[in-house]
Amino acid sequence: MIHLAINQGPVLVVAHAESGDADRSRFPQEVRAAIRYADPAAWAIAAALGNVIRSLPSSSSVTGSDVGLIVIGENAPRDAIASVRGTAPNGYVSPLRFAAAGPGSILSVACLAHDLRGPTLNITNPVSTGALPACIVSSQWLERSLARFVFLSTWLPSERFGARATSILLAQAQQMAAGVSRKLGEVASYLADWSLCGRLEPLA
Amino acid sequence: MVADEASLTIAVTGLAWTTALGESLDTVWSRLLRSETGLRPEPARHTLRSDLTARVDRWSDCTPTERLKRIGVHTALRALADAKTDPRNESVWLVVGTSLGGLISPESHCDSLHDWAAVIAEELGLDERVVSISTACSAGSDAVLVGAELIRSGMAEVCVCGGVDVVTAEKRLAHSALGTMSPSSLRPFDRRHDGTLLGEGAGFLVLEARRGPPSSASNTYAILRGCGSANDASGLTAPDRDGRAAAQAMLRSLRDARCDASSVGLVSAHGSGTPLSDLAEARAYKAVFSKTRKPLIIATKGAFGHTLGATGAIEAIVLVLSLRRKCAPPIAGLELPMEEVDLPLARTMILPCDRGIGLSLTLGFGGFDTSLVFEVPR
Repeated sequence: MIHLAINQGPVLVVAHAESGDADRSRFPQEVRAAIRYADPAAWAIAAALGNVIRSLPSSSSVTGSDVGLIVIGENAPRDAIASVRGTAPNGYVSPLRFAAAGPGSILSVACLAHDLRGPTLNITNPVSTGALPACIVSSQWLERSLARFVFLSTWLPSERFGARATSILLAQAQQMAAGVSRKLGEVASYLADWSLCGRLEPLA
Repeated sequence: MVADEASLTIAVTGLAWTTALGESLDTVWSRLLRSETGLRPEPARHTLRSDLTARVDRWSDCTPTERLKRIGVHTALRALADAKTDPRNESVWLVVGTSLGGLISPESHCDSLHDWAAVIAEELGLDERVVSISTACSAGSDAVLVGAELIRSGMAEVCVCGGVDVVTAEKRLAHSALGTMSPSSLRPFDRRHDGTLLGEGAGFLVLEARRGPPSSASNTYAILRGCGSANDASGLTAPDRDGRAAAQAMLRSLRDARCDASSVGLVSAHGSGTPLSDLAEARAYKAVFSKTRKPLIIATKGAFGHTLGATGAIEAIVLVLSLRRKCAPPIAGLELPMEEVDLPLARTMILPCDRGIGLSLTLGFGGFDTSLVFEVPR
C-alpha cells in the first residue's frame, strides 16, 4: 500500500523556500497583536510561506479560500505549554498563552499573515512517517479541486532563530506552466530528509 | 490515483464511543432522546466560572495522558470489533486526533504530539500505520477526513478514524479565564447562551473502501459521501464572525459529495454555546441553506459537554445514528432559540428525519472548520 502511494503523482512543485530569519517585526502589527505568544515555529512557517510567495511572479495569487496548508511535525509549542504547566498549580492560566499552547496554533500565523482560508491540517507525526500522508492528502485536495494550491511545511528548532521552517508549494500538474513535476514519494522523502538535517538543495 | 476511483465508495462499517452518557450505542442514543446530560458538578481546587464537567467514569486514578491512551484504545478496539475487522491486516490504518490531550498537565513530561497515538496503534497491533492530527475541536472530524483520503488514494483499505480528549484541571482553568466557560449551563443556540462546558471521551468510525454500486449491506451504517474544510484565518481563538469559512467548509464538503444543499436533511451542529461561535455558525447555515429546503439542526454538546478533540467523531456518530433511525434527538439545554438561527432546531421533542443525507460541522480554535457529509441509503 505504501509502495503504491509513493509512486502516485505527479504533483507540481511550484516553488520552495525556507524561513531564514523569522523576524516577527517583519509581520504587520495586527498579525503580531492577534497571535501573541505563538511558538517560534509558527513564525518560521509563516516566514517560509512568505518567502515562497515573494518568489512567485507578481501575477500569481496564492492566497484566499482555495489555498491550503498542511504542517507536519510532532513537536509541541514548548514555551506556551511550559508556561501553562508552570502557573496552573497556582490557580492561574494565561488565556493568551493557553491559546498559543494549542498545537494547531502553529498554522495560525501563516493563515492570518497570508490570508490562507483553504483547507488546513496539522499532522503531528514525526516527519519521517507524516510526510507521505500529508502529500497524499494534498494531492487528493488538488486532484478533486478542493484546493488550487497547497503549502506543505515543516520546521526544526534553531539556536539562532528559535525555529527554521521549509515550505513547498504544490499545484495540480496540469495547472501551471512553471514548476517541477514530482512523485508524492519524492516530496515526502525530501521533507523527511530536511527534517533530519535542515540543509538540502531546494526542491524547485 | 485509485484506478477505479469513479466507483469507490467509503462505507462506515463500525462505530464506537466512550462518553459521559455511557458506551453502548443504544444506551447513549436512548439517553440523548430523553435530553439527558452527562454534565455533573465536579469540585475544583481553584475557583472557576462553573464546576460542571462531563466525565468518563473510568480510569480516574490515571494521569491525563494515560487516560487519553486508555480511552482511545478501549474505544478503537470496540469500533474495530463492531466492524469485524482484524487490525493486524496490513491495509488497516489508525487516524486519530486530539486537541491538547494531556499535554498541559504538570504530570506530562512529554512534548511529543504523536507518542499517545503511537501507543494506541501499538495496542491495536497496527505497528506504524498511524496518523495523528491536532486541529483543536475539529481534530476528530479531520481524522475522518484524512482517513477518507488515505482510502481514496489506495494507501489504505480500512481506516479506524476518530478523536479522543480528556478534561484536565488546566483546561478548566484556561476556559474559565478565557471567558468561554459558561457560569450556568451549556445552551446551544439559545438566546441566553453564555459559554461552553467541558466534557471528555472518544468516538471512532471504521471506514472501509467499497467498489461498485453503494449497497445497503448489513454491516454498512452509512456512506461517507464527502469532506471539506476551510480556515477562518482570524487568529487563535475568535471565529470569523461572519461564518464565511464555516460556510466554505460545508459547501466544499457538499461539492465533494456531489450533492447540493437542498438534499441535506439533517445537520449536526458544532453548537458550543459560546455567543460568538453560535452566531458565526448561524450565519454560516444561513449562507448555505437560505435558498433551499431547510435541514433540521441537532446539537449534542449540552448532553456530552464540549469534548474538544473528540467532538467531531462523537457528533458524526450521532448524525449517522439519527439518519439510520430516522429521527433527531432534542437539543439538550435549548429553550429559547436565537433569532439568528433560521433553520428548524430539534428542541423539546424527537423530530422525524426523512431524508438520508446529513452533514456534521465542527469549528476549532485556530480557525479549523470541517464538514463531513454522510448518507444512509433509503
